[in-house]
Amino acid sequence: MNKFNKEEVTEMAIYESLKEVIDPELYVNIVDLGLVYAVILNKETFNVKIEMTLTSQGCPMGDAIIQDVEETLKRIYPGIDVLVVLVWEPSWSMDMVTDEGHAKLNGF
Amino acid sequence: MFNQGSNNAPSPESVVPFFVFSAISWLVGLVFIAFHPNAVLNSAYFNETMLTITHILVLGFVTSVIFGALFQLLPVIFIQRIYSERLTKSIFYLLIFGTAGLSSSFYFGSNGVGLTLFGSLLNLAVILFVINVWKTIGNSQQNKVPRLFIKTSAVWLMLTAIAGLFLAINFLIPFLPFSHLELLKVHAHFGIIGWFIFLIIGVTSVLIPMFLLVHNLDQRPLKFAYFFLLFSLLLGVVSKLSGLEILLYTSYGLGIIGFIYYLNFMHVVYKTRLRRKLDFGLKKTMIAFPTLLIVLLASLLYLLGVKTDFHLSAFYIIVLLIGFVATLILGQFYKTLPFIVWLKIYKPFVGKEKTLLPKDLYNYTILKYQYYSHVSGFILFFGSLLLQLISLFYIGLGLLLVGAILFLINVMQIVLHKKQTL
Repeated sequence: MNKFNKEEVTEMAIYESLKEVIDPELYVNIVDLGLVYAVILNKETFNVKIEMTLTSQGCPMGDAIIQDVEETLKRIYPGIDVLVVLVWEPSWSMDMVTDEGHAKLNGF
Repeated sequence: MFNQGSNNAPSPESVVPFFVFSAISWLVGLVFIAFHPNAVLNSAYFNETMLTITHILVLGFVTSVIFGALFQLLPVIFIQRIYSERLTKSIFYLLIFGTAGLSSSFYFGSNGVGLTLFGSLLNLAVILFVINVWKTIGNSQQNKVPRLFIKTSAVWLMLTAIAGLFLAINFLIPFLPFSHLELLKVHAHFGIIGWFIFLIIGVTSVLIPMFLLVHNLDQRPLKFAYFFLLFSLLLGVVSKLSGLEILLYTSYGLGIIGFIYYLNFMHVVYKTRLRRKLDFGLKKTMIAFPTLLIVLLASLLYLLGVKTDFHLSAFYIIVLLIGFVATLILGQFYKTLPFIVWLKIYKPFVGKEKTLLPKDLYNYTILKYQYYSHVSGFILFFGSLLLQLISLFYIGLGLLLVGAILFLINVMQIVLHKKQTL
């Protein structure tokens, strides 16, 4: 397990960590898919709130993806309290996919 | 809290048996064709071997997988839990015994008692299925047009089953005031267009855009497709029972327009997809759609009264079943079954450790060869029906059989998968 200093954990670092969460159907991580809307970290309580969406409402893998987010962050940052909030506004669109995500979806 | 699809999913034990029974039936159906090629080459409605093969394929292969897939997918499409899992298990046993019994009754000489008994079991399965589907969908406000298609398809299935039972009883005690052949045609059209096509349109109009990442689609073409196909079917029935030929032609015309609206909808989905690279499961799904054009062409030729060396209406039913429905199902198997099994085996470990993905549960090389043998097989198979060439028929059928065996191997590999650690 990686050693880390709570004080040094940043929202950007958590955002990067979420690249470990792969959509099981699309084989692309949720950051490059543009599913993560916001990472809000409270350093004092060591709580993080992840605002994210899914590619479609009722996505059959949605529950597994949310669990993956929670467990991945708990594994990388032991002791962290994770709250995942699903949001549907703004609705996900292809403009939110990163260049890397586009490349992966196009098979490059 | 999130009310996600996988939260609502039924247990794999209640849906996986439908998939296994379907994969076995596909192989068994093709083996029967290999042993009785004339039943297909000289298709006539009341050929008993043809009826055996048809019922193995439409009940064992198609209806079984549709039942299983629907119990898995309804929670996804309508974000509702399945009404009763216990009912799904009862439906499975009724379907398996009903299909095996009915097919045997046809094969061993249209035994009226057997047909009525097993037909009744199938009717019971259908009643329970319709209850489970209608209660599950309820008043969900999700996906309104697909909901209309799916609910209507369940009604058509019920009518198909009732018409089938009437035919079976008529074998025992002739009571129909008109020719049973007319009711047989109505039974077939209720099943193929009303049940399969309405259901397939309802499900694919949600799932394909979901898999291909397409949003904000105009639903009007789907609505038009619904009404044109509905009126086409109703007019078709009236024409069969009244003998008014003009209504039959109108029915074909409306049906063609309905199919065109649906194909146009799927074409927009395909053109505007974000997911450009398709895996083999999706490729196989998408290749099913052009076969609908062959169906439309055959319908058009029939409508124009073109004379051919082969039975046009039987040809279009075979293309619809083995070309469109079978190809679509064989593709969609890979978009459902691995996910069902994966969720059961790996979901408890997601995020805690590195896990396999659903696509790792089957052999990709086998899928690739299954895809090639199936596609080349059905092209040669249809070619042989058009040209009435027996040698081409056997090559096509052989390739379809190879595809069916490879498919069954992959299905068993998925179903029997044990957890692996990376």
